[in-house]
Amino acid sequence: MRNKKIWALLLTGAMVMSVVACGKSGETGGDSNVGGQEETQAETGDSGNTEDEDGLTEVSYMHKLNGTEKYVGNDDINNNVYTRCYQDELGIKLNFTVAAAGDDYTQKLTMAIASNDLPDLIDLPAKEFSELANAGMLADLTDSYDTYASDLLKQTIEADGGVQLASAKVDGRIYGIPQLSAADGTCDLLWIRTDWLENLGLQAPTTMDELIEVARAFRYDDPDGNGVDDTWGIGFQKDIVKEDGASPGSFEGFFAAYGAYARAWIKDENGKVTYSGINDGMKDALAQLNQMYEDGLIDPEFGVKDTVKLSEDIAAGKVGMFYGLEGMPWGACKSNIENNPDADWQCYPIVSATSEPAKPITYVRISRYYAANANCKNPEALVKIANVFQEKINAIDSTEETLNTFGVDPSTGINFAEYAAFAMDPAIQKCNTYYAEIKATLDGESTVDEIHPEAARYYNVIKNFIDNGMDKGQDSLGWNYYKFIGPEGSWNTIINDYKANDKLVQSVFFGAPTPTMSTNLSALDKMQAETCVNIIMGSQPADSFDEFVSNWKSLGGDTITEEVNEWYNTTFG
Amino acid sequence: MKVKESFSRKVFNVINYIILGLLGLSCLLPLINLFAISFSQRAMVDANAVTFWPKGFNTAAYEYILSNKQYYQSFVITLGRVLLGWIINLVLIVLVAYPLSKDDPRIFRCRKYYTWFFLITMVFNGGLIPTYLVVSKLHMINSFWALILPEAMPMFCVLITMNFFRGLPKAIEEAALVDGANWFVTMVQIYLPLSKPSLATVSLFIIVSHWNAWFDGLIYMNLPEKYPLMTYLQSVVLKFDVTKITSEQLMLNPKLAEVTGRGIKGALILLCTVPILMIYPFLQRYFVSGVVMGSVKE
Repeated sequence: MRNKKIWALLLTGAMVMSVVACGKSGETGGDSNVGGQEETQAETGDSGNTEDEDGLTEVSYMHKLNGTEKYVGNDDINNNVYTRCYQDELGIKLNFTVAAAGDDYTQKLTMAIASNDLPDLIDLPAKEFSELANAGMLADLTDSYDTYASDLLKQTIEADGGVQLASAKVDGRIYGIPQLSAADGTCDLLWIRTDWLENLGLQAPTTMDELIEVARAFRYDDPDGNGVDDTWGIGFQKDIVKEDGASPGSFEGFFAAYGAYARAWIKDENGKVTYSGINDGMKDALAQLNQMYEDGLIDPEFGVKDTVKLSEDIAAGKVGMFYGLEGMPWGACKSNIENNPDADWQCYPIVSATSEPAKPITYVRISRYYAANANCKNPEALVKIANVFQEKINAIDSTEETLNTFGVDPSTGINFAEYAAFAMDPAIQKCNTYYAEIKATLDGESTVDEIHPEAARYYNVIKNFIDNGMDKGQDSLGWNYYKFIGPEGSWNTIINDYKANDKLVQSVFFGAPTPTMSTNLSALDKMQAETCVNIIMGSQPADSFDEFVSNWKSLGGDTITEEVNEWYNTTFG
Repeated sequence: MKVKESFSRKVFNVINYIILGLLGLSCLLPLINLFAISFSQRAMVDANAVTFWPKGFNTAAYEYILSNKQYYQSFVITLGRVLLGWIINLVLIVLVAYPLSKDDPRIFRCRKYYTWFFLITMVFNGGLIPTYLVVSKLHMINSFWALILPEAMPMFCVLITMNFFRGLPKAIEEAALVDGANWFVTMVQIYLPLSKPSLATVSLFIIVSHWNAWFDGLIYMNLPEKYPLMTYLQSVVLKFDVTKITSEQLMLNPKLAEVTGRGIKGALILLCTVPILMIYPFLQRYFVSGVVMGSVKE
């Protein structure tokens, strides 16, 4: 009797084990990876390819995920449309051995570096890339790049004339392939609610004085006509000194009116790189902001509001003007339109406070470098694989069908391109090319068939929006594209104009943090941010800015400036 | 006979109920808020207009999560680790607790040594990196067992069980031994049936801790498809960035445009916590009795 119970218990245990085992094999489609044997199992599992088995080059890879990847059917990270393509077309079996998103990835990477357990190919943030490259732990990719990179890949990577690629070189040799950043897209635009302008009979501002008048009217003249005093003149968020931008509610566009930028490294006429956050212009800008704060035009809680909180205010119709990036229609503005179909937004060029035209600042932010381990036997695999994405997605002769397979699936909206390794997004030209193509098609100068299929998708949405009477309440998505890449889009109306008139200023430093930056910069940034907030909120007089400047210089700022100049001269010298 | 309550007692009760009520609400309201957000329209969530009732009811967030097979994969892994971990933990706990409950040095001579041996692990542990290295050198990285074996014998649960065993009358055990049962039979046939309450308590601790564990999944698993549910939840709550959904995706699947980061996070939190919340009411009483269990020694 008693023994029966023990048996029953053991059997239950065995059943549970088998359930777990079933679950595991079921989830991976039965053909691959449990535990450490994933390579061998996956290979034998992929039947139909057995002849090529020996010919396959196996490469391991550590990949930073987007965090939004979605797999369907039996697909997973090691078995999807891209990995199959690498295997069939290139004879390369790419094994994703480690993959994680965000900070988790950085942790895994640090662990792998510490235990000297790096895979063949690695996805590296700027800091780690520069450390490993200088320590001789990465493979020289120069020859692979020259030999194997397709014209399209070279075109994408060197779209800016090789400026960003230069940051991936040590002694003139390429040690990594940078994911290019679309610097032009990081300039600030002035976003304004045009329905409020109309309600109050105002014009879009062209100078700082006009901007302040508009802000005052938005604050005190009840622009939304609801009889309640619930609107702010201009929206700002809390991060004044921030490397990767803060939109909506950025300060850079405002500072630019005074020829200053909070976080930029600018080359002066003597060819020396200096920090713009200590410019005299900053002092004037802060004094002006303080005045606006005293006048009640700025939300007194701005110091604790991040971009998300400010977005909430915008979506709730409490803010009618802010500095932000080109893509703003996607976020808060669209929600605002959905909540209130009468609302309408338009972007304008930033205004100047002086006789000089205002020049917005742009930042190069290379998010990652793709590199190969010095011990890797086939570093050229990296370049070969990078070609695939260009050929499938980026090529001008890419068809709708290829795009459906390798890009976004039209029925489910799953983005297959997220599976790709070394996906060099042609971010620099993309918006421009697409915008030009869409405009030409709208003007009847070309047809949908002639333009890139991705552009054609945007074109269809925009055309649909225009044809249906531009009803933004009904079709907020159409409005979205219309304002982004369509006729009234930010690229069309402003950024191209900035570019044509040479108005964009690019921050020249975009390397890995220099030694003194690693030790002192966070304290300096904090000091700068506190000084700015204190001056704006009036708890510190504007003249105390001079004191901050001398402190900044003595607390490591001067050393950092020297290091930045050194970096600039070695990289571009 | 009812004792008449004094005035101060009444005042105390009223204030007591108010404080406890507020405390309860402060736990409940965030959950209700999440619930409302997860079912609300994007524009409403973005405008921070949702409080305790969904506005512009829709299920886009749930559709987004449930159409991703990662959720099911992680769910299966968590279910597996709860069941398997529960069994393994329970077996080990009983096997350790029983001998350690024998006070008499004639029965178990080195008991003191072993007790200290185990107790030390409760106070000191190797720390993150050494633990990781041990797991890694045992080739358990990326393996399901890394979620189970490192925590296979929670000492706290051993203490509870051990003290409960000690509280049982010795005479029963002696009777069994006199009747010819050996130690193992005594443990299985006499002690285990008598200790059901303590085992239930311990089971609850194990199940909840396995269900909620996320950090081990994060450091021992190299690919997200092997993450248990809570690690997946963690990665979504901290890393999910709605702007990573491309414009092209939005255009082709307008449903995606209905998704907000907060909605997704709220929905996933509910989908991950509700299963364990449902078993709470049934096991709640063991929590209360379990904490004091074995606290009075014979």
